[in-house]
Amino acid sequence: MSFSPQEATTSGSEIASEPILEAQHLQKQFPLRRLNPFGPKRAVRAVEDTSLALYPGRAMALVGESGSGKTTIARMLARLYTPTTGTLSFQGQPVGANLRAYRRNIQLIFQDPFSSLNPVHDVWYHLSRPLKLYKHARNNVEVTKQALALLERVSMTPGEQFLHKYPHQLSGGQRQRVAIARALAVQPRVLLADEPVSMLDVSIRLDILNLLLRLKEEEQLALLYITHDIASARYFAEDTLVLYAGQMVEGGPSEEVIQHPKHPYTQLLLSAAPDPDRLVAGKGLAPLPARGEIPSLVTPPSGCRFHPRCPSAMPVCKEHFPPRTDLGAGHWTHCFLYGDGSGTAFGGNGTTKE
Amino acid sequence: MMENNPGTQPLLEVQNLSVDYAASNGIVHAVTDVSFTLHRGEVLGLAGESGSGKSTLAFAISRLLRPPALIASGKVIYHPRLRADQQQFEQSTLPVNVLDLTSEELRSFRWNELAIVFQSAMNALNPVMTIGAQIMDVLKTHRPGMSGEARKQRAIELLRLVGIASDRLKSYPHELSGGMRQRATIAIALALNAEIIIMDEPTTALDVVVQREILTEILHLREQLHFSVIFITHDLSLLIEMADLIAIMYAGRIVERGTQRDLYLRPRHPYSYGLIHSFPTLHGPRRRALGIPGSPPDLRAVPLGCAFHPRCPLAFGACTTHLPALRPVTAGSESEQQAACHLYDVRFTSEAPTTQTIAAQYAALAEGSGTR
Amino acid sequence: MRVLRGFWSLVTLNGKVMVGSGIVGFFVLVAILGPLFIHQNPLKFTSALLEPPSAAHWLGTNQGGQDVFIQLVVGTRTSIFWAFLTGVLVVIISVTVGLLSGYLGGIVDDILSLITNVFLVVPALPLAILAVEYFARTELTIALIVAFTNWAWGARVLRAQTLSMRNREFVTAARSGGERTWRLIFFEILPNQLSIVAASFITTTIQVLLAVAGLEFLGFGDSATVSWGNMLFGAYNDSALLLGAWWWFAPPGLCIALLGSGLALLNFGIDEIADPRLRREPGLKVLKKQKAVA
Repeated sequence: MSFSPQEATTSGSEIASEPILEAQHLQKQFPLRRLNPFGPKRAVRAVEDTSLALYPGRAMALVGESGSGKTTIARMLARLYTPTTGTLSFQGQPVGANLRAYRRNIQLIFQDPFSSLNPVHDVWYHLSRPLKLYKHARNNVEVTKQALALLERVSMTPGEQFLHKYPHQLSGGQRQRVAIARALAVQPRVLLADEPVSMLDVSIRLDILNLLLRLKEEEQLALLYITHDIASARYFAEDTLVLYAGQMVEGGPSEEVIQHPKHPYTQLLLSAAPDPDRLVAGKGLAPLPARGEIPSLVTPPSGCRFHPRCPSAMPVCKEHFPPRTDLGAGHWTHCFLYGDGSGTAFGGNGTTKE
Repeated sequence: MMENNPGTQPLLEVQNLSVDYAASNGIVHAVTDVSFTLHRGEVLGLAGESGSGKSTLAFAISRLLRPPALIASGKVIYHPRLRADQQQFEQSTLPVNVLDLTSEELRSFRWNELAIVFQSAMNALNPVMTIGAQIMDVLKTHRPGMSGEARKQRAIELLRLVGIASDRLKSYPHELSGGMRQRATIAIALALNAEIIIMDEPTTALDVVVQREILTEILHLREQLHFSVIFITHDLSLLIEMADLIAIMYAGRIVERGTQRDLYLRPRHPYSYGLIHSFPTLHGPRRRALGIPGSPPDLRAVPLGCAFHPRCPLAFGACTTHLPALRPVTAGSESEQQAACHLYDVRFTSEAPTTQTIAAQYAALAEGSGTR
Repeated sequence: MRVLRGFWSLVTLNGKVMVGSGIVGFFVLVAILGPLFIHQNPLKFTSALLEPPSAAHWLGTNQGGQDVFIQLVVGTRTSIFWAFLTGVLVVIISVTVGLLSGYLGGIVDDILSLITNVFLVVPALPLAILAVEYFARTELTIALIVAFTNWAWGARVLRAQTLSMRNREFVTAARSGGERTWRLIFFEILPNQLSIVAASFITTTIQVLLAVAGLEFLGFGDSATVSWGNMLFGAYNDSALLLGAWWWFAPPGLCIALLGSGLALLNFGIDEIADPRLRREPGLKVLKKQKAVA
């Protein structure tokens, strides 16, 4: 099966199918305990106004550093957290109170393959639970048969050799495959992968990513790929969304976002990412356009949260969060440098309104 | 003469170092027969995955290993030099074997000559002491002649050097962000103007932007203060951008050694090639990549012959029986590039493969395993 | 057959476990099978008073002419039975309370923690004495009192463990895979705490053994029952020490000490049984270093 360059397939603006999972204006705040009961209410404002849509057979990457809110978004999509505000709809229907039925369709793959498996249970047990709970298998014989089939789908063959192993007897890559098999046992339509390869050895990461891509193609799954490594986002996903401190800052087809980044934070991320090609081109380590660190989410900066670090910050950036500006071909950004949402698009070099 | 170009003076020579772990049911060879030379002002990168032995090697050099780990054989020769400041190591410039130092000498060696920056700054810093106090603690231990005021000034100077404002002198580690904590550990490492700084995955736990800042700072400091760095990481793409010389380790041995350009443009060992191409690229054509099939070996069951042969697309008969030695890639040349691979041994292969050949074999693997 | 083989490999895991389970196993066997071989009433008075060990009476006789050996064997069953029963009771209570309050949190946790804290400070021995005098002077009363005053510590520990475990990823993964709450508590979290539960069980059993024996020694037991503690009571009352009748007080004392030690040894080794990660892998061969082809 060859890997077709993503430019040839549909771009963001002409998706053939309907989104299978759509999130609108999700927001999440975690209230903090107040030491002073008369003081102001404090909360960690983890995610502000995020909207995204996942399509069958397409992968979307959520790129951000720590504190960007990416894991919180994934957990909200999986309904492990309840959004403070915002709506979630699956196949066009709003997600209601019946969580069990919803969870049948969405599965989460975690970052640490060791802690996502229970150390006292063997592989057979891990696979049997979802098979039995969702009635895909009715007795132990069927469980074994289906478990072997699942292991084969994640390229763990011969399956019999692995069925009765415990997590500590497996390598990191094998554990992650078991976690993927367990997620597949539920027969979901959407897979949310939260940094699935960050804790694995470098040489096996691509194997696992390729496995997920294959499953996406074969079963037309919708994938959400959360990562801090923008290069792997380019490899894996057709679309990319960049998050900063709980706010969406840029999004669109991966190739577009990565080759022509518009938002200053995206540009910062790209210049900070390791790029050995720079060596060949003769450039040294490029100086970073911005310094500083990710802000606290308890008292985040007002307006656009990137403004304290942004080399192109303007007074308006402190006042409101910029509305969405469409840049064409499905590429969009939230940045006053490119528009203020009133319909006037600016030039890409940040000329001001005046 | 100590600027960007690696000096020609050897600073640290590791010769045939081997480290074993005595486990309850046998002996594990964590590091086997490792040799390399670190020159003044050079950045040497040690790359490898789990089980490669890179961290064990660093600990062995600094004699931080504890039982059940023991140094089985080898030497670590350090070439001191006369220094401008009063503290001189050994009052002489004769090379010494670090492994033979007495505990008195070791105390003087540590931190004056060799300092270490660990992976997790939160674990390396004392949580109940302010960072200023920790820096001054180091100074008090090794420079008994320094006055309290002089120590404070030096601490402020060190913090400024790594980009921390002096008002943070009285901050506790938990009050600082991850990046600042790591900078604080670097400041502590620099406190005594050490000649060699070993950095064990110093930026792995940090975000990519902070990581880039710290790496740039390390290189900048290196230019200013002329120390050498041994940089240990699993992220080979980082090393290609910042190391002068890179050594790639696999299952406890060095399998390839070369400059950054050599390793990136002309990797010789199939493992090096596979490792470099395990990192998706930011620019250039989008292509399916495979990484390396299989996984790093369990050190308790290392394959016979070349440890990489079960995963190698170019393995042949001799690879399963004979262990290759690290040798120059082009026989008889003065080139720095060396690889431990039978493909470059004229006794086994008549014609050495080019990087294109290796690429082709990996690509064939990618095509053939379309269902993987 | 596989179960038996598995059991055997667990028991021979290491020296401590072997010795400990050997001792405990021995006593359990005696408790179960011993009285089947005794055809004589242990309380029967004979005319052979305070006789040292002989062929007729293996451990001699006491002041009332009763055969010490027979009493010892019959008493084993009583002592062990109450000790283990109480241990089981304590485990059931502490596991339920600890896990529920740790996992569910909120108001359930608040109430159960309050109850736990109250029971933590209640003094065991004085309460036992009071209860025995007030209710009935039987081993059952003692066992119940000891159970009620000993579950709290285990519950506290398990609650703390559960609190830290409920945020572990495998619990979240199981939850998102559709597991119900009670299964999460008892099938996902509890198996990870088996070593603590087992240790708690054994510790409690030792405590009960000593508490019951102690109370009986003080005279609070039912004198009609034959048990180690009652034997010691009798020996003390009839001045066995002064009379030099070591065969009367030494055997029951030694049995208590030995069983206690056996249980303690078992406790030390129990961690390995519960945690599969600590089980030894099949041995590795000593690897010979290969010489590089220079």
